[in-house]
Amino acid sequence: MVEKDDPWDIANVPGPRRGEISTPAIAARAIKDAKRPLFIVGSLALETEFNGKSLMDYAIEIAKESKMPTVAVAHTLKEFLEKEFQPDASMPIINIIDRLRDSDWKGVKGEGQHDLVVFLGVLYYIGSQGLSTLKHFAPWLKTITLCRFFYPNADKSFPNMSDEEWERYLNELVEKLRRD
Amino acid sequence: MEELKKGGIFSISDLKNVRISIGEIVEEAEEWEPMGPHPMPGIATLRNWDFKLLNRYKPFYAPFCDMCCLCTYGKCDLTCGKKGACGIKIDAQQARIVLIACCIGTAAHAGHARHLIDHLIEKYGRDLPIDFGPYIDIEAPIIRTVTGIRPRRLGDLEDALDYVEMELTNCLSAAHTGQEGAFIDFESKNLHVSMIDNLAKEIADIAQIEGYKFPKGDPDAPLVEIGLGVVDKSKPVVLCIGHNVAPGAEMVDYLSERGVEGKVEVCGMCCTAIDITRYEPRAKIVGHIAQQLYAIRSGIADVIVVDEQCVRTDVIEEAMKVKTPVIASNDKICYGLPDRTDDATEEVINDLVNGAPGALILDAEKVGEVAVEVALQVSPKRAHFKALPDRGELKKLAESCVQCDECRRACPNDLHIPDAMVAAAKGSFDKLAELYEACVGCAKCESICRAELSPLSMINVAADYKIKEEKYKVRAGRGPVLDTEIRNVGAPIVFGDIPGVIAYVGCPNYPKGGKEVAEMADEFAKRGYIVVATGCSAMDIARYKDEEGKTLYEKYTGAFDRGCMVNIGSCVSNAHVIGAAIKIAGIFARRKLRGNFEEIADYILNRVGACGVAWGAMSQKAASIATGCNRWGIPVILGPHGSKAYRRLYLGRKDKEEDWYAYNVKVGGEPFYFGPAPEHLIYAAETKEEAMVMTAKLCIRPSDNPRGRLIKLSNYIDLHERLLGTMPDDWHLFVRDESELPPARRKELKMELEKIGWKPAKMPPGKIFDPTNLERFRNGWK
Repeated sequence: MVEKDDPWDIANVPGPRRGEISTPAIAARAIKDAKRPLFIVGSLALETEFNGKSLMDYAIEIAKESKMPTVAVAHTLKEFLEKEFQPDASMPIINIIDRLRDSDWKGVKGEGQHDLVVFLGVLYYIGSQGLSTLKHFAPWLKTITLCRFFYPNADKSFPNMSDEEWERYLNELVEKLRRD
Repeated sequence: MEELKKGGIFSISDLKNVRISIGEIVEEAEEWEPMGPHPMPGIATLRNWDFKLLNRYKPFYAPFCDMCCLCTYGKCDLTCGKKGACGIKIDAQQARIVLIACCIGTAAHAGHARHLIDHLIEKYGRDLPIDFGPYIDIEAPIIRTVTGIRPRRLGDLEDALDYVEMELTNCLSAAHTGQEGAFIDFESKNLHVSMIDNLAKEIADIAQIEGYKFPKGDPDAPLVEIGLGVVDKSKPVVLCIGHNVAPGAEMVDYLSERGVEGKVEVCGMCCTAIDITRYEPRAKIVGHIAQQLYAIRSGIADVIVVDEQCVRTDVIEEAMKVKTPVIASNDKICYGLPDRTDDATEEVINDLVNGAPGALILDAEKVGEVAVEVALQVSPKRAHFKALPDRGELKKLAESCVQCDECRRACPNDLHIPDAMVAAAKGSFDKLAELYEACVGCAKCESICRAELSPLSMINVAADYKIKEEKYKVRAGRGPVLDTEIRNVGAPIVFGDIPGVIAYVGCPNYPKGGKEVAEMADEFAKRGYIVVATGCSAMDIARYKDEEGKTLYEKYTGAFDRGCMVNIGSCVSNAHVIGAAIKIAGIFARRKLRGNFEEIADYILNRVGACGVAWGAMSQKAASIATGCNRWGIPVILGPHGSKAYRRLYLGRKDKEEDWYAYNVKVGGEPFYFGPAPEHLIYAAETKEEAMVMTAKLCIRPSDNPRGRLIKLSNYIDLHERLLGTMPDDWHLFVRDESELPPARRKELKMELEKIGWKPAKMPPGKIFDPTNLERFRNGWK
């Protein structure tokens, strides 16, 4: 069976450097410790449901509890607005990655380049490529993914896991962000 | 001798001790147009143009592999600033891999062109005239612009092809260890070799249009049948797979000579299919590369003939499962088969009929005869062969699934195969059948399966009821756009009244199935854009019907005009899409084309609102097609899979105002802020909705007049509001004057502009926007 830290995309082994497994506690701590974190929410948030709660609902909870500036990518903006949450920016995943690799960019709030990027719900393979860009060309930046797939190109990634485990991870993360 | 080079006259009687050798006698070149500055540009001739593009649209790299393993020093780890043994860095390495990919793509088209030209010259001679009829004067816009050649006869295409081969060799040589080292120059070479790819495609398609008398820009090209369900299995079936029409055309001719047309089904997969139907509209298109295994395993083919490009490499293995003999007809794919080219035809037929798995026959005419005869003889013996489980077996097979998830992890589209197996084990096959739409037919799921299941075949059986009903109509590839059509649409395109020309091109590695391509095409045709398609995308657009049971080809006009749905043709026909943009410059704007790439590309970048969408781009050919479009100033949107193996995009930054200045010729040539249009040159979208919004935006051009800009902006805002739920946050960047605001919302939008301190563009009254990125034209177009 799949190991916790195998690349989810089975043959997509990028190279010698690979990220570490993260837990909800590690992710919550990294978000809290970051000076200018950024939260990116992708299209899978529109398609993933857990017992009556959508991944978009979790995204909004994480955004609210962490107070991270949030970027809606793909066409997630519409759903955010329908759920009465206003993201700080909406742009294609490629555009936000392009800005994050620019050390002079001032961030979505104009306060300076970000030092941590948190991914949730981005289509795996385009997300993996975006993380590769940041790994190679944005050394000032740390990356964390909160999906149920292990991303070797992220600095820290939730492991491969079942939907049930993932739901538990997301609940724990929201709880830790709320509590700490 | 200088005088000689200039075409001057010298007296031979003055020469002493000179040996004169007469080589090829070249007729004096016809002065059909003054030669421009860059005929047959070399690898670095257009470097300045490339740098202009790359300065605005900076290369963006997403390494798909952190290492280099191209020489024996390696593997070298290039992660995070480390250099390889040769000194190369990760950015240059990515650009180098893209160069290799673009060279492969170009080589595929150039090899295809060379084969066709050799074959057709052998058949018809070098002097076969190239004459596209009364409505096409500019028969070869790319050849004219890049090489300065005006091809009059089939043999003239060889000169252009010699140049293609020389440039391709130079570009590929730059990828050798210890050659080019700067990413920016690798990118310039990528752009160069991909422009050469455009040229190769045009050469190939002109040759086959003329040689086989394909439609020459016919807006009413016949509707032909397409789909896995269209094959009449009661007849012997020949299935051609690949991209080279020569053997298929010979089959059609042989059937005709033998007087048995209609008694054998001549079908095809991939662009060979499109091109056979350009030759013989009664032939049928079965599908594309994603459906090759579905078709072969179903056992429909009595003979398979493969030619070149995008043919599964395991065709022999798969065909043997259903006892279908395979004929390899092109030296690029030999499959280890015995070369039977010079063997007696009867002997070859006999062997194939009696169980030989295949034969290599490098003679298209002979392939035509052998394929038809084998199909006729094998068909009765082959009835009911298939390599698929029975529906009754599905449940039991699914029960043996161990739920390891590896099929899902290997699937390019992360299809939830294990969930479908759980349902199938309980006797419900709907979930398996649902996977059919988004399956890309790669069969990686079965290669990896621990229980030795074939999810692909199980999907095939579960979705059998859908597959049988796949019967659609596609218009046969019409080829080039008519000069007369360009005269009608040139001004509306350049000024923006027609909001854009959108080309759906390329392969079927879609994130969620081909229906998305049809949905996108429908939306833009409805909005009055000119919508064209080629290759696999042209096929997939045909595979969906509206409420009235019509495909888009039946619903919209086939003329290159507002609100059309045009099938241009096969992969090599992509050249005509670029050709149409060039013709707008040549016919509408009367720009000289000959040897004048830079000026024409500058014209297209600033004035022709064209955008390519390669939603399922997969191959190296797709890489060179897209990069070639970029050099001409045509942006391309890739589907999300395009972010992987291509690993390089050219992205603009609309937030950097300094990047969007050009010269405004009509107002004294001072640098002028034209706004971020088009925003990107090559870009990958995550979802269809995102792609549609970006498509509308990438059709905006600096030259739009106020009315045209209003129309384009209205489409962009409307699509953004519908698909993303609100106004775009950058709409104001495209407003130069209040008159460009959509009338129904002018008051509201004007207030928004006032809030952000927007100021109209400073244009003297009565002047038009006349942009150029070329300094030599800043003070006038001479």
